[in-house]
Order: sequence, then C-alpha cells, then structure tokens
Amino acid sequence: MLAKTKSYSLTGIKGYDVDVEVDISNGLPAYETVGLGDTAVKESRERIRASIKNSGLAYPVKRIVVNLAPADTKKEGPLFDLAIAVGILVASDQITTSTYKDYVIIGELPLDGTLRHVNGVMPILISAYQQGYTKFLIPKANENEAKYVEGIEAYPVSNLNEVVDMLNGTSTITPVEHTEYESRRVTNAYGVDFSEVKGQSIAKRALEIAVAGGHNVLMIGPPGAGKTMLAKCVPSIMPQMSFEEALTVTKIHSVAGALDEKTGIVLNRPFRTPHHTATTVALTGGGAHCRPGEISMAHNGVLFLDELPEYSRQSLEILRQPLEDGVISVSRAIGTIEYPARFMMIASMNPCPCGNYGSKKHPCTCTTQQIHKYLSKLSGPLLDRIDLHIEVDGVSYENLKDTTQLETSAQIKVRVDRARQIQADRYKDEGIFTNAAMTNRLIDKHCRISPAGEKLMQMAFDKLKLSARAGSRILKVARTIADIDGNENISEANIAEAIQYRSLDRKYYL
Amino acid sequence: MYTLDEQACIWLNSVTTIPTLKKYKSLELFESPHDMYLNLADKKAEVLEHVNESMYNDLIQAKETLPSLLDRLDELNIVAVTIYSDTYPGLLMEITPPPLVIYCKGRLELLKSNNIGVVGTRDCSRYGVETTEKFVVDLVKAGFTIVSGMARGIDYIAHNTALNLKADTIAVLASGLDIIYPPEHKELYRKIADKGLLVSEYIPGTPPNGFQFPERNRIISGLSSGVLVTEAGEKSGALITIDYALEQDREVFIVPGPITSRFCRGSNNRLKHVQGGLVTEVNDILYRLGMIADYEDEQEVTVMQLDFMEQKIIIELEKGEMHFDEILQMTGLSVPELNSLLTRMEICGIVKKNSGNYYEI
Repeated sequence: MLAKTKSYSLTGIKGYDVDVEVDISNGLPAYETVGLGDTAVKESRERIRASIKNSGLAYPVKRIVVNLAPADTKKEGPLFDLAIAVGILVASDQITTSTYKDYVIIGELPLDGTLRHVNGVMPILISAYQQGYTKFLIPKANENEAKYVEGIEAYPVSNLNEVVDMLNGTSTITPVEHTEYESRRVTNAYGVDFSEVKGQSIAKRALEIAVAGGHNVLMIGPPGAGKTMLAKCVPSIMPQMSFEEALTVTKIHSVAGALDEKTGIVLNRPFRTPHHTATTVALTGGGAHCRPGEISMAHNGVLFLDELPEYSRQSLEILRQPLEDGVISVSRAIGTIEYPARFMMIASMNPCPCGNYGSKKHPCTCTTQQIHKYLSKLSGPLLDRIDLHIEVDGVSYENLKDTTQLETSAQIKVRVDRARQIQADRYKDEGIFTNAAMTNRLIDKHCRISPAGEKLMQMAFDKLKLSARAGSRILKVARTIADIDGNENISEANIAEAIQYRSLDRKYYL
Repeated sequence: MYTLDEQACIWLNSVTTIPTLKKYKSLELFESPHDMYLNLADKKAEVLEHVNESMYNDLIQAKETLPSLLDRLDELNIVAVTIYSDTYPGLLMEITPPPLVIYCKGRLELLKSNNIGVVGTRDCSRYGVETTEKFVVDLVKAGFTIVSGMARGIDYIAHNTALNLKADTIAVLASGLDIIYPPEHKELYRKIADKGLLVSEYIPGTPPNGFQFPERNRIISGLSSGVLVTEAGEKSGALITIDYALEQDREVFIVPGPITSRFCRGSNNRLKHVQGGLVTEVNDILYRLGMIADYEDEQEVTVMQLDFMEQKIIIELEKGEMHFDEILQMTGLSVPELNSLLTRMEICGIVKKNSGNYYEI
C-alpha cells in the first residue's frame, strides 16, 4: 500500500516542499530509501524502525520503499524522520484517518520514539506558509520558533505515540499560540554598558557616530587598551531590531543551528567575533551543506574583527562585496545560495607588530619598515569602506578624577535612534538607510558645506597631510554628526570633529 | 654638448675594471684626457706600468662603445659632469680621489649649493625618524640642500621631509641612474629627479653592487660641508660615511640617542671619539660651520589671538603633553566641542597630536 506525506527542506534560508512516499509491498523484508538523501537520511531507517518498535507500534515485516520527491534535489539532515515514520504507519494501516494529509511533518526521531529538536524550523514555517501550507507537526522542542509566525497552526508533539493518537483522532493537541513580537529586548545583552567604560571618550563618541550613521570603524591601540570591551558595548546602543529584521536574523541562526530553544527568536542584534584564523569559508559560509558563515550570522548586527592585519588577505578581501551589497552568494555543488550579510564592521588592530607604538608604558621595538609592512596588509579598497579610524589608548585612570557620572548606553541610544530616524526620512526614496551607504551623487546632494567649512577642509588637507580619499569619508561622518545634533546643515564644527576620526590618514606612520 | 676632454673623461670613467687611482696615474702621462684618448697607443708601455694587459684592452674597446654611451645619456636625460666641467663642485674636487665623472639627473645647480649630508640607519626607530625630521626642517630653514643616499629608513625621511618642505635635496645613488634601488622608492626617485638632483658615479645600467655603497658614501660626504648622522646601529653604513667625512676634513655631527636603544649604538659609540660631534639642535651645526657667530636659545614668538578655552588648554599643555581625556576633564567641554576645537588648534599649528590621543604644544 502507498502512503504520501508532506515534509519540507531548506536550501539556504529558502525552502521547498518534499513529498515523502512510502510503499509497502509483500516480499522479502527490506528497506530502501531513494531520492538523493545524504547519510543522515539513509540512516533514518534504523532510527525509524527502533522508534516504531519502542513506541509499542508494529513495524511491518515487509518490503518498504521510501521516496523523497523531487528526486533530483539533494536532501540532507534528519528532519524527514517523522514524515517517513508517519508514512510507514499509514501504509501499514496503523493510522487510519486521512487527516495526516493536511500537515507538513518535520522532526527527528531517536531510538525511543520521542521527538528531537531540528534546525531551521523558523525558516521552514515562514517559507511553507508563503507557499500556502498552514498546518504543521513540529517537535515540541521547536515550539518557540513557531510562536512568532503569524497565520499558521503549528502542533508541537513530543513523541511518536502522540502523533499517532492525534492523527487517529483519539486525542487532541493545541497548536502553538501566536505571540506578538514586542520590544522586549534584554538591555545590556552582552553584559557591558558604555557607562562602565572609563575614559576613552573619543572612542565612545566615535562609536556613537558609527552606529548612528552605519559606518564601519577601525580601532587602533596597544594590547589591553580596551578595544574589545568598547566593541562589545556597541550592540547596546544599536537601534532595536524591527520584527522583519529579527525574523531574518532568526532564520539564519535557525539554519545554522545556533538558535536558543527557549526564546525561539533572536531579540538582540548579533555580535560575532570570528577568530583571525578563520578561513574564508568560515566567514562567507559554504561547506558541503552551505551553512551561513560568520558574516551572515552577524547580519543586522556587529562583526567584530579583532587583530585585523592577522586575518589572511583573502578573508579580508572577500568582505569587500558584502560590505557593499549586504548579501553574500555562496556557490557550491548543491547550487548557489544567497545569504543576507548586512553588518556593521568593527575592526581592531595594534599600531605595530609589537603593539606598543605610541604607548606611554612600553617602548616600541619595531623598525619603521616592520610597521610599514604590518600596515600594508590592509588593502586600500578595504580601508575605503571604513569611515572612522580612531586610536584607543589605555590612560592611567588614577589621574582622572572620576566625578562625573558617565553616560549610559540607554542615553546614547536615544541620540542614535533620533539620528537614524532623520536618515530614514531623508533616504526614503533613495533605497538606502544610512549615511554610510551614500554614493558620490548623494554626497553632493546632501553634504553641502559652507565656504568656511570648505576652507577648513582645505587647510586640514594642507596642514594635517590628509590623504585624498579622506575627503568624502569626512563629509559622510560630518553628515552623521550633524544628524545626531538634529541639524539640517553641516557646520564647520562638525567637519572639524570628523577630521579627528581619520587617524590612519594622518602621518603618524611612515 | 661635451668638450673633447669631457668626452675623454667619460670614456675613461666607463672602463669599470680599472680602479680610479690607476686611471689618474695613467692620465698623468698625457697632456689632457683628450690627448690620452687619441694617443693611447703611443705610450702603451708607460700606461702598462699602471694597468695590466686586459685593462688596457678594455680601454681600447671602450672607445667603440663611447658614442652609444653618450647617446644613452642623452636619451635618459642624464648629464655627465666631469672634473673638466665648470659645473663640477669644488668641494668634491678636494677628496682623494675625486670621481672622474658624476652622472647627474635633475637640477645641476644644486651641486654647488650649500650642501649638508643627512644620513643614518636603514633600520630606524621612531626616535630616529623624529630627530631626522626635526633637523631637516631646521637645516632647510637655514638654507641647506639635504644630501643623502635614497636608502630606506633615515635617508628616506631626510629626502622626503625636504621634498615636503619644497626644499632642495640631492640623492647619491650606488647604482646607475636608470636603476631604482630600493625599488619601493620609485615615487621618491621620480620626485627627486623632478625637484632635486640625482647623482651617481656609475654609468647607466650598473646594478647596485654591495661594494658600491661605501664608495657612494664618500660622495655624500664629498659633496657636503658637513655630515649629520641622526641614528646609526652598530653596523650601519652611516658609520662609513662618518669615516669618509673625517678623512675628507668635513664636519661630523652626531645626534645622541638613548644608551639602551640598539638603533643608536653605532652613533653613540662614534660620539665617544669624534670631538665636539654632539649636536642637539640646528644651531650647534650652524655655529660649527661658522654660519652664526654665537647663539643663545631664542624662542620664536608668534602672536595669535586665542579665546579663553584655547588659552586654558595652552597653559595646561605647557606643563607637558596631555591625554584627550585629561583635557576633557580639565576644560569641562563635551567630546564633540573639544574635538573640533583641537582640530582647529592643530590646523593653526598651536598644538600637535601625538599617537594615542595625546596632545602637546
């Protein structure tokens, strides 16, 4: 007898439906899976047999053939287990009603018949819903992912017997209740707040500007100056993610298996810190299963690259395209997958190989040539995408009478939100969101400066020996500073301040 | 166009197998270089007392390549200045032996300008860079042309600082003028050829052989009235330049360095032996060269209208450099206000930003 159940699979964060066909016929007992399944799919035979047996149900001693259609697409992972098991039970008349046809069935079965958590439930639900499916059977462990998807009925089940009883109509299961997404962001999600950072006022201000205008930042400073701590504070002043943003981030994290089962949605902007030994594939995504890489995991959040020059040249250059387009396409044998990758890049580096150049505490032992070589690892095109470079130096705080109450992240965030709002209004017809994304045409349009400001720029170029490419970056940053102040026009003071955030253009180095 | 004597000098100089001293010895046998060129065969026996047979043959052969060499010089825009030329600098004539010919590219008049050699280690520290920049700025103000070797490190800083000040600079190369060594200095080479002067005693096409570097150093000191060494490690080539300078009766100026720094070990060691060589400011040099009678520390007074905040910052900075955060606390300004204020003061040249967000006057 033939049974047909529905399941679902993913390529990247987009899904497609899979027909699971089970045919049981007389003959020598055998079990065959066809339909380009990977090892996890092939091994499902043993899991399903044990699960059915251990749930007190009968495993048919017959010839069983399982087909996963479409047969020309590679299937991977254990999420078809439940659909196959249901198919076998239907084909062997242990499930007698035909209600099973209404459901998209996903879930992994271990040997004891309970259901296990699977990756990628959120993107499956959203994608399937867009294709017109509304009813789902999902593992109970995944129920939190279902509660934010509107318009679906997702039935959380905890073991095979529950599924059989429900499909036979002998018991009922209540679907997951829909929860409205609300701004219940955990403030201080990464455990640090700007008010805890003593001193470093320039760096703090620069990070505020960077977040407000979506600019990328490079922090230069000796080891132990506090670069990492500053970077960790950044998510705490970033604007709250909208529901759409949160869903996209959740989809990516769900596919990667990095989603927290309890919350079911990613509420805080991601903060990713890939180590500098990370391969290009680890950053961009890929591998046999085309998993999202670090830059996609950092989508809508922060990608923190510590010790920037230590990354391989190739890994750094690969960042150029996503920094521009906000997406990364990964081509592998199973096809080309596009993952979103719109992130704010915060990079940090030492000023020289020994790290102490310019430090007051330890002398630098590098030759100028070594410093030159170290800095030349950063290519011009990459530096072009970084609008602010700032120096971070550990100052001895005993000297600073700490009387003033330092600003908290929440206070800074108010200004950031306002500046983002102004930008959103200004660029609503331009297809960009932040000042950092301005093209030359838009810079000409929105960054007009007074003759006094023009003169100041000119003097700065002459006296401070700024490099030619600094000009448009300074304008962009000055635009953001004006937005933070809520000003229509860029003032002379805004430009003067923006000039301070171009450390690498200055001639500290050879 | 070259005179016949000049052409003969170029011919004689192009024979690289004969040491310069022997060339002079052979030249003494004739009335003039041109005489030697024409009548070499007549005095073959005498000439052979100074050079061997193969060198002699090289001399004969070089006669044939002379026209193509002259063409090549024109093509490369290189001028050969021989000891028979009017443009040959008098100072260089004093050294023994003076180069028969120096090939020049750029502004020839710089050969006879007021030259000072600024040399140092290729492997330099931040201290070396700073002192070099400081001295070059002051030397340029005093009207000197900066002579150096276009090597990495201090040489580069010396040339580059001079060029940035739109001042004159001469680079003496250890290779033919058509070969840029080190290769990463091609931009510097282009600028010096354009705004300054490139000098070499080697014919075009000569690679930078190791032994040519010390030889080149004798021309650096030879062209200059004095040589300033800002930083030299234990085995630095700058020490050779000091030796040549002493041999040639040139003034030697050495900037002292920290005794703990390996970058200054060579120059500090030399300081122990070179009488009165220690310099800490440009006036020390000017005084020794007789360009000023006496000197006292005189401070340039610039008059500038400062507002209250600026004055407050200046007064604090006079005690020493301060971190941005310290100034911030002292003034009570907000970060954006202080940032733009400091940028303006920096542009006006009142304060200087150091690495690590430190400011000084």
